[in-house]
Amino acid sequence: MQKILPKKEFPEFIDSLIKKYEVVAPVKSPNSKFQKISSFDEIYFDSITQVPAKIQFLPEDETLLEFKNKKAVETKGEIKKTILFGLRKCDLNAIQIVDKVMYDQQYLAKRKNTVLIGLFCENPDEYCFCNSMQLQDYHDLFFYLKGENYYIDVGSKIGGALVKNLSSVKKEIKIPNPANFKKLENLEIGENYKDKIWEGDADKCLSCSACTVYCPTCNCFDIKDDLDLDLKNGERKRCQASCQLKSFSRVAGGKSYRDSRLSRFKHFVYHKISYYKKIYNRPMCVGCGRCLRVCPTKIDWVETINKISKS
Amino acid sequence: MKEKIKVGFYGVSGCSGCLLTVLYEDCFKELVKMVDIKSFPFIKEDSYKGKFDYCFIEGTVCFDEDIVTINELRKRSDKVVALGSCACFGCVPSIRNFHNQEKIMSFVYPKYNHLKEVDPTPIGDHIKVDYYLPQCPPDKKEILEFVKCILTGREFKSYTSPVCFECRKKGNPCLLEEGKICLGPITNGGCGALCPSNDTTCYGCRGPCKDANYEAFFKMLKEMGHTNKEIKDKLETFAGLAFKEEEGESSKWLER
Ligand code: SF4
Ligand code: SF4
Ligand code: SF4
Ligand code: SF4
Ligand code: SF4
Repeated sequence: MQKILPKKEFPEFIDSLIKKYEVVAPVKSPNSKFQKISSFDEIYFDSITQVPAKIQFLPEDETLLEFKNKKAVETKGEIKKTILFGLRKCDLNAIQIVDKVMYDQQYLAKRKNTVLIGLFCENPDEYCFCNSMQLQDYHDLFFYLKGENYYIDVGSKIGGALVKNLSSVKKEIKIPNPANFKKLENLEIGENYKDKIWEGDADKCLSCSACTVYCPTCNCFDIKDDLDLDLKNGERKRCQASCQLKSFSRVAGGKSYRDSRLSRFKHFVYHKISYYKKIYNRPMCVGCGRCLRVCPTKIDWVETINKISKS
Repeated sequence: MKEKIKVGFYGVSGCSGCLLTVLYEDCFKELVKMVDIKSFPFIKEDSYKGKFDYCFIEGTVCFDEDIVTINELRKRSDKVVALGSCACFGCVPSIRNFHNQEKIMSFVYPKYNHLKEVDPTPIGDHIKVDYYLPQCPPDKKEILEFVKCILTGREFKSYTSPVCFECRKKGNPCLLEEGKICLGPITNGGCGALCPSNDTTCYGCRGPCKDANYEAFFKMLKEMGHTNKEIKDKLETFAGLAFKEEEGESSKWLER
């Protein structure tokens, strides 16, 4: 089902949502990220956010357990009914991909109380390659501006309820894919793990972790305990981890299973392209380009794969 | 009740900033609950002559008497903790190692030439150090966490990931993108990316990250247009000696 909203009524529509719900949308502050807004004017539309939306569901240092007098009590992780607005197609697919893997109480509680509203991506840049990544529709509502009207694709009952007062579109339109200037030409790289070509990228890698922290589909985490002196009270917290760091694969006794920079770097690429796909039949990467955008030494693994497939 | 562990807080050639950090209300109040501070010459007369379970030492070794002091403290202590970047890496006083020593000495001390100086060095170059709590000045939370670990018999784990990890998790804009020299990618974090979170580049005060890729990092800085001198000035500021040691033979940037 599709609904229609005149362009000039769009700010008013968002402001009416803000009155009823917590609305989280892209804001520039100074890096662009998803944040709670209190008016339509705060929304930043000009580019994809630098910080991905995942922090909404996987906040840093989230308390999972509270130890009270030696008893562990699981936290509920509940949030108020929240509308996550302004998600581009890649952002929505990233949430879908992480939804498959995360099913703890805290994550689910947040997901259950969040409505996903997508917005057509008008400004892809030279790093975006989402059209290479087999993206799907995954939204409660999706806004697409055509002429003087927003066409709103309704993806769920919850989404439908938010637009029930708007008129329905008589002849539904097809919402196109965003424009792309970059392409990933090959998703079958299983055979190429040992190729020398990866060494060039790994030599440039600072193992700074930026790619994984900014990737909307990276969901690896570490657990740390914050205990009181009596060892009876305290908290267990979840914080983001990164496979680009040596500590990630360190085990008791001090050995690290992915010691070399090369093996760590390749793990990122292979998890995104091959490993996830083996289980869920689609790549993990959604082609948002964030890892390429933030890399301080401008490593472009997409180009590396393209080079492999040409040779 | 179990007897509290006996600790001492001492300083050799340093600015006393680390000791001052310990004295901040939110740190000191907690600390006295947990340990028995036998000596703290910075704030009270040093009359205790007995042994310490843990001795925290601030400062760089700059004069011959510093060596005597820390050797004596080593003998009296079960464990020695290097407190702050001076004790851990030599910090600001050690910049002298990378310049003309005589010129600097006569500039700083035109009159007092009776001082018997030695090359400014971290205390670990002279005595055995059991634990390192770097940062200039050290982090109050980390000091307390360290003490908590001792008291509860848990292992104190030093932070081993680069500053960038915490910086990125905070969603900060990267200062390298603004063309500045930020040492975050080669520096150990644990400070919560304090400087970049306040729009200031990292100067490496927590010392080199063991996993640093120097070659790629310097290449990147040069491609950004920075000169060897600019890179050297930055590196030598807080942990120059340690960076030089880590990088080994190839460290051309820190020659005198
Ligand atoms: S791997 Fe890179 S392009 Fe793919 S989803 Fe992650 S950040 Fe985006
Ligand atoms: S790329 Fe690394 S950090 Fe990201 S999800 Fe995979 S293993 Fe985790
Ligand atoms: S952002 Fe670039 S340099 Fe940093 S870990 Fe990722 S690939 Fe390596
Ligand atoms: S500002 Fe510095 S610490 Fe932060 S990500 Fe950039 S290089 Fe790393
Ligand atoms: S950001 Fe760098 S200079 Fe600043 S406190 Fe941390 S390690 Fe020290």
